[in-house]
Amino acid sequence: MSEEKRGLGQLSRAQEDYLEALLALEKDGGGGVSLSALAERLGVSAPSASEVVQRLQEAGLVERVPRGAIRFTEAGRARAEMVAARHKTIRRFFAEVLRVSPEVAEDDACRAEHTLHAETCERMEDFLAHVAADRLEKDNSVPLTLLGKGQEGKLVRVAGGENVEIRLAVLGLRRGAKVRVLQNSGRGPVMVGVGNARVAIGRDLATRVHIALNKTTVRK
Amino acid sequence: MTGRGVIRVAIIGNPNSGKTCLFNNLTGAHQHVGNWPGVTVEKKTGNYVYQGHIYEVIDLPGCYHLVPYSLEEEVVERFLYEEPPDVLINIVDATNLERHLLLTAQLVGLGVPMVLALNMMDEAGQRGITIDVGKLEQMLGIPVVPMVARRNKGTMELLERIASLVERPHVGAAGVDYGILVEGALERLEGELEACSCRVPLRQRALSLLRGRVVCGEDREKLTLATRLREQLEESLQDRLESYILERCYGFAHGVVRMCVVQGSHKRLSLTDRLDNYLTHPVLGLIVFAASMWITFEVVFAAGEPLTTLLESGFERVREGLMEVIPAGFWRSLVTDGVVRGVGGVLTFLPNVLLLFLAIGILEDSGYMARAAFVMDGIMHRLGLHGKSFIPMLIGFGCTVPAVMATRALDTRRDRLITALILPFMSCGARVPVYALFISAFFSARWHATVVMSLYLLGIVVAIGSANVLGRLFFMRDYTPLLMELPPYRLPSLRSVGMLIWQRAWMYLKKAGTLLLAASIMMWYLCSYPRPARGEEGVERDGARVAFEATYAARLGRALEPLVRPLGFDWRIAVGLLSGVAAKEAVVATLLVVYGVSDEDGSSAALEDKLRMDPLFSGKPWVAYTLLVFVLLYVPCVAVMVVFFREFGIWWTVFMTVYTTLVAWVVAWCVRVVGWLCGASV
Repeated sequence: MSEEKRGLGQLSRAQEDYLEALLALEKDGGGGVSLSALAERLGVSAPSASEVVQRLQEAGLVERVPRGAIRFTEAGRARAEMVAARHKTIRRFFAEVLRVSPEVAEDDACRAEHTLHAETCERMEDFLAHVAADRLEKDNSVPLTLLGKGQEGKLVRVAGGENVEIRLAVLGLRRGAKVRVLQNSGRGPVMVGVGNARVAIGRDLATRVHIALNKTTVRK
Repeated sequence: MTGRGVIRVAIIGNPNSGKTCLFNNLTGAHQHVGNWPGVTVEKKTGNYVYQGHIYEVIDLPGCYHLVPYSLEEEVVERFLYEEPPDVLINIVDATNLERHLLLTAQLVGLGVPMVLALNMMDEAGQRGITIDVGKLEQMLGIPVVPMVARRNKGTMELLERIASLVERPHVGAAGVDYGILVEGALERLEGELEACSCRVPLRQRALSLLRGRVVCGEDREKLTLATRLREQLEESLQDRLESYILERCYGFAHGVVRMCVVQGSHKRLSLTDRLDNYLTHPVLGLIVFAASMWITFEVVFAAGEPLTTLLESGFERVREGLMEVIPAGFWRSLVTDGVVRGVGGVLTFLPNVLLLFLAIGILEDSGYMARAAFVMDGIMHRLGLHGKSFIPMLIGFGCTVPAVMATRALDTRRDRLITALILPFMSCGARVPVYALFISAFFSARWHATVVMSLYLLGIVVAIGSANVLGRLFFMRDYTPLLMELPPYRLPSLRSVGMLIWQRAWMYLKKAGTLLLAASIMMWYLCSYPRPARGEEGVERDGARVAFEATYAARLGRALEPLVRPLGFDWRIAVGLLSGVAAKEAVVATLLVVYGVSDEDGSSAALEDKLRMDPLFSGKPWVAYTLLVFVLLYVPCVAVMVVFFREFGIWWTVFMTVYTTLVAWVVAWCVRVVGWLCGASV
């Protein structure tokens, strides 16, 4: 794979890990980080740690201050944060989208962050942002009550707690379900078709059911 | 399990999946309707014999999910864990298989041998849905029987499959895979659980425990562990466990459907869709609703008339026959006036009650009842009620007792209680005899339907007002919103409507045979003793026999007279009203005795004549109407109080009794004042 496409071409896997560890330690302790603390965190000996830090120093990413503490340079901090962000994206994608366990997600993210292309990571980020938007109510959904007779859409969210959500879900009204409004007079309950079933939903409840309209329906 | 003993079979499925229909097919007339212990959810059991074995069939309440959100679902859960049947019949709707398999997905883990009854195959065929039954059997690991329960198709094959499942029990596929995280937690919990005498598999017990449900007496320690595990899971799943489990079950169902079902490209607007365009239309729907209610009343009253007359004359003949056989004295009086009069009086109104249940059965079975609830929800909601409240209210027009039981369809205690409190105002079938008597005595034939309709409407108005007032007085306005499935329209099946009528008629007759007979005899005693002085027997004064004035009933009536005087009634009416507490039908029977119709010609036509000549009513139909209003609204019968007590406890029962009587008095008084202001003679 071409190093350019990964975006962080010049750095080795170890160097990236060092930057991340440094960032984490800095956040924990504040200020400079000692070489021994860094070596301890990464589980390596002090001399081999010193060797890698030396190379980072040469690349202009960290600097050594008096009494041996290691500090980021401006460029180094930016690079470290980028690596950390990518790590977090991958871990979240594994845990939240693929639903793997947290330990596995963390472990796999540690490895994958060094090999995945920047493009893949960006797509992961987009996807997570989309999922988050779904959860943060920033989607372009509308309450069911605003849909007219005959309009269709996808159920994206139910507000008002788990019980309500499950009571709806067992009737087929779950996230992702295709919903068609069969009757909505502007007052009283709303009748929707979902699958081959028809369900009557009281008006108050219907306002809590959020529907993303089909694009074709929106244009109408 | 083979050989001796009764084999227990339970039917489980979503509401509207055809459970009751299948139950009727299996058991025929061998049914028993009772209650689940502890709760008043209706429990239907029946039995059948197949190849020399006796099978007991239990019709479980409809449910969507194994974790209970309603009383019905709680009953189902308890049944499945505490007294699991030998075979479970899971009935599903072939036209909406994916959603119905959601329940199946949760049932396969129960460790109970199961058959899948694939119902409504005809409709599925019409919609171009093809189901690979063999594949479905293979994927679920249980026998699958395609059927059309409404036409009694597939029943024989089902019986056969059940029998062979009893012969060689096996429990089918492993069930839903809940993913590595949940499965890990389940394994952890399973390790903690000890073996127990119950037949529930460990995995299922662990799953229930994880969901916070104690199945067979697991201690607090294990529940705490389960709670901790659940919290951890929810943390790493970033989702609520229940939603997650549901998603996995849907995933299972979806997978099965994708493999076994071919959905035809059938886009024609179904009949149900076309009908719903009109029947649930905001304006047209209300008109159709009002019209259908009007037709219901017309059918019940007009069509019932000839049958009622026939029964009346039949009973008269029986009475006359007995009069000749039994010598005069205590026994003749008891049998002819107490027993025959009392029971006969009830039976003559059986046609009306039957027709009412025929109408309700048709409304329910055709799918219109749910639409009526839908159409009414907007209005009901504004009145502080629930769209579903409408169903018990409609049943209340038949009898308040099943109506109070029907409030269990509502989800919160608040909604149940408010609905139940106003049910006595819905004019029940037992009040019809009283209306019939007074209306045919004081109103000309062309007004009959209108007067009856006005009473029903008044009852509804008072009920609605009460709901509003009670809702504000006693309860916060926290209600559960309407949420129900609307079944497709279908031609009502003769069989299930017939079964409903038969069951209700039987209930009505049992009531007549026991409670009402007792009430009738008691009233006869109160009205006949102490005996009058010699020589005064035939004498009449003030439109009542002197003989009656000495009785206990008369004394009681006189004591109560000051209370009903402001309404324009006298002590004789007070006695009649008092007997109405035992049963509304008894009012007529008591008036027969009070007016002394018994010994002479004794039909209700004779009583009508007596009433017409009574100075209290003579030329004053408005007084009769006031009385009907009072009868409409005042305290319901003992049977209702008993059911109410079982549902809501003693204090709400006392409150209901006092409240309804107070309302009846006030409204009747207002009616009287209005009549007086309008110049009617009162």
